[in-house]
Amino acid sequence: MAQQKIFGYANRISVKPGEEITFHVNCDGASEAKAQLVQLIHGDTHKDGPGHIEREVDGPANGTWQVKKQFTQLGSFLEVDDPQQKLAVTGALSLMAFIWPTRTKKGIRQTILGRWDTFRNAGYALGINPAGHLEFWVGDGKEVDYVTAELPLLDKVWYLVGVSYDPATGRAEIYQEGVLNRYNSLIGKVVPYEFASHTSQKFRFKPSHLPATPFLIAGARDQHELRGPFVSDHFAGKIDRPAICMRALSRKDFDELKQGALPPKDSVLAYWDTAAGYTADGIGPDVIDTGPHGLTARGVNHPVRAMTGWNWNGRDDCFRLDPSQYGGIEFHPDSVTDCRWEVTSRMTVPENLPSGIYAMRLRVGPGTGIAEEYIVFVVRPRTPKGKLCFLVPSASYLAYANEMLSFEAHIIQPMTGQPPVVTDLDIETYEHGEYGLSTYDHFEDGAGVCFTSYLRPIINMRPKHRMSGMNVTWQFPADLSIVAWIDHMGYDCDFITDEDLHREGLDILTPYNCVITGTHPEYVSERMLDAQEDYVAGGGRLIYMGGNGYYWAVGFAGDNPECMEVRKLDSGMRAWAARPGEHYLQTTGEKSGLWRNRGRAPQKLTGVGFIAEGFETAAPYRKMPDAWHRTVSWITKGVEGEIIGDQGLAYGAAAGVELDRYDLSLGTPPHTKIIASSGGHSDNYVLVTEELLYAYAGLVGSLDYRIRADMTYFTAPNNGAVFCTGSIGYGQALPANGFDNSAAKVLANVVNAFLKSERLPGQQWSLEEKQWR
Amino acid sequence: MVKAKANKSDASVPPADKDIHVRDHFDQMTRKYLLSVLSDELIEEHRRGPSHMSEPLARLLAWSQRRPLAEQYAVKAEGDGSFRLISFSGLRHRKPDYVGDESFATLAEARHGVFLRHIKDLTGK
Ligand SMILES: [Fe+2]
Repeated sequence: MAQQKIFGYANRISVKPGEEITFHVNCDGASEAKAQLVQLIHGDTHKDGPGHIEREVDGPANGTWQVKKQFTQLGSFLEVDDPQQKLAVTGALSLMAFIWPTRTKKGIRQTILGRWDTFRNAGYALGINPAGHLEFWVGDGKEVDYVTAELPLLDKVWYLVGVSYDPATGRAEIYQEGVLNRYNSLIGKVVPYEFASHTSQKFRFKPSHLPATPFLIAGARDQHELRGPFVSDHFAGKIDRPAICMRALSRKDFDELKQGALPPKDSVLAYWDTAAGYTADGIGPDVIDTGPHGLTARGVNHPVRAMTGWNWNGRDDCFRLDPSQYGGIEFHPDSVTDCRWEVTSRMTVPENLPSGIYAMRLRVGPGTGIAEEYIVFVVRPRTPKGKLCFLVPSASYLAYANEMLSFEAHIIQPMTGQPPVVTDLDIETYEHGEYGLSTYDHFEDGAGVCFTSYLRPIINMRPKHRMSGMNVTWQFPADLSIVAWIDHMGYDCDFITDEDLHREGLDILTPYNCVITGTHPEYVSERMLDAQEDYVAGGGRLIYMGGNGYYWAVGFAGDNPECMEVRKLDSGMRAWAARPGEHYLQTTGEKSGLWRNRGRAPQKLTGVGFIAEGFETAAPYRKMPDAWHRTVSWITKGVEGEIIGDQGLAYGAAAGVELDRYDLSLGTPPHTKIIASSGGHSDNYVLVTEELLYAYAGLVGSLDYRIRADMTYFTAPNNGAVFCTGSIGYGQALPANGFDNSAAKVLANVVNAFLKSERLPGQQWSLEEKQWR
Repeated sequence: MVKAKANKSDASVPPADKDIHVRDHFDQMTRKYLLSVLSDELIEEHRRGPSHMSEPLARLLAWSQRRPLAEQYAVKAEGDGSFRLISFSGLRHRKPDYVGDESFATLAEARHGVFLRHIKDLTGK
């Protein structure tokens, strides 16, 4: 029997009672799974905490589910809408595109464009052969003829490639010319390579056309016995302005294309103008055909747009300045933003289900490890009920979804100072690679991953999971430690997600006296940031429970809230760097990167911002002089002595992992008080790169006083206030010692005060406080 | 004509990354230093766990952690609560291999096991 394993996802991450959610499951080695709705309370199995806690809940979908193997289409490509089969060309034709390939040395076939069935050897296509040479081929359903360029293509260099083919004579001629300028390619003109190749061949066979074959850009139709039709032979790299003409163009015609001319108008069958359709708000996945038939090419698995094209001049750094230089569309054979599995089961959320974090728990066979799955989702209240709101940082879960740094990132061990601790689940997911990558990973060709979606299994958005590189819970399972504390305290709490906040804005927050965040709300859209700023300014009370929050500027496509885009650039602790000219989000037109670099450092909203990260050890906080100030002494009431947070499930104390600091120069509100601060961190704690102007030795925990977590507090207009822990590890400190510890005590003081609809404690001193002393 | 041919053959063979030569040279110097400070006391210092680290131990760990990915080790948490050592393939989607068949009862012991593997690689013994 095959090894039993089960993976799944839901179509939504946030759902209200009465709404429907669908579940999509892939299972090996079993045809039935036991399904049980559970409410998730705690997800860290660390010995110093309460362990994994879930509560089984009655639900209409509980019971036995029929499950089966489901297949995932990997790879991004464009599929052309051609219902009348205009591209099943029987006469002469020419194909052309500007390309910037990235995997020519991989030893595999890649299709640039064509109407080709690779399983049945039927049709025609222009591509790259396993030796890395440009090639055009036709197949009659049995035999295939090829014409191949003499010289291999070079990676990360722009070329104009094409073919003209006339079946009447059988003559097929390849056109390959480099179109490097001083900016657009990896190398420049000082490199003495030969880029051009022109070869011809007399073909014996003519293409046959099958009705079902789609015209694809960056892939070809394939067929598998169990799976049916799918796309293979993916192209990796950028393609700009692909086209097909209905006659055999001359070398002179191609030479004119190389100068930027359009193909002869009377010959165009389709011309996909990849530079058309940009607005100031970005561009969608579909590519416009300006030819006579309007054959739109639809993007699958998010081909990346807003990328520089063959004619990029190095001066205009955004498509908003000159879209004509942004015809590049980047394709990756290992991209997946939607597994597109069939629905396995569906559930209408019961009316009486309280707001909370839930999962559909699925088990096959032994029901542990890879034979167990939790499909997590948040149930929002139908109407707001509690006074407390937990803002689930789902955008940050997306950013980290299925990260595999331990397996591939050379940086991870120097960074964490410890060998990773991996599980069967980590290895299974890595080995099969079917569930896509996180924005911390690279595609196989080295490009950073900028799109991430939840329409795929996410193994680290589960209870019990530990991030292998750091060997602590991270993001979702870490946030469950805050959830467990809220549950332990008995607060009436509503749960909403980043997605809800992005969609609905301020209105979703105003019913609440207090909003509390997750441990690491790192990825935020402008709308999410605006809503939180307006909430605080309007009298709301925000508790920022984390470190390295409000950091990256992200976008969601209007009709795709399940898919998020980020580009990492310029500065900041980052897994990759977007290339020059590719710093703007295709989904919104905004510049991505750090909010700090757009004039909105996190300090302006919260009082603190990212200063250091480190692993293996953590430290407690020590009260600072402000702790005894009469306006804020209520915050540490009941905590004897100076130390706060000397226990925890993340390296044994509350100040650890990623740390934030008070900094007036970055916009910390001037009247902010530092209640407590950590320090004495190990030298594995290093200063963040965005703080660095000149580098010098010793920017580490034991030598640099800036490396610490600041616990801060400030009051805002209309009785608003913000309290920050300044540390990721604070949330994981809450469950220590049966929730009886100084970190939990401080947080309870703050939440209890924030929940009261009256003036905050200490505000009798507000006149003096306004003098910012 | 001859020149053009040379260009062609240049283009068809992926040029090697000469950076490796420099890295190897640096690595030789580092290993020489580490071998000069390696002692039973240093190994014992690591076994005792992460408190303040001496400079030689910090440098030994820094070398271990900076080795190429395929020369690094990690810990595999087994379903039964024990731990084993693995090494990464350095190749995408190729799963890690077990290193030796030793099983460790605690994570701290397994991590020390990783450390001893690096020492073994360093000394060739
Ligand atoms: Fe992060």
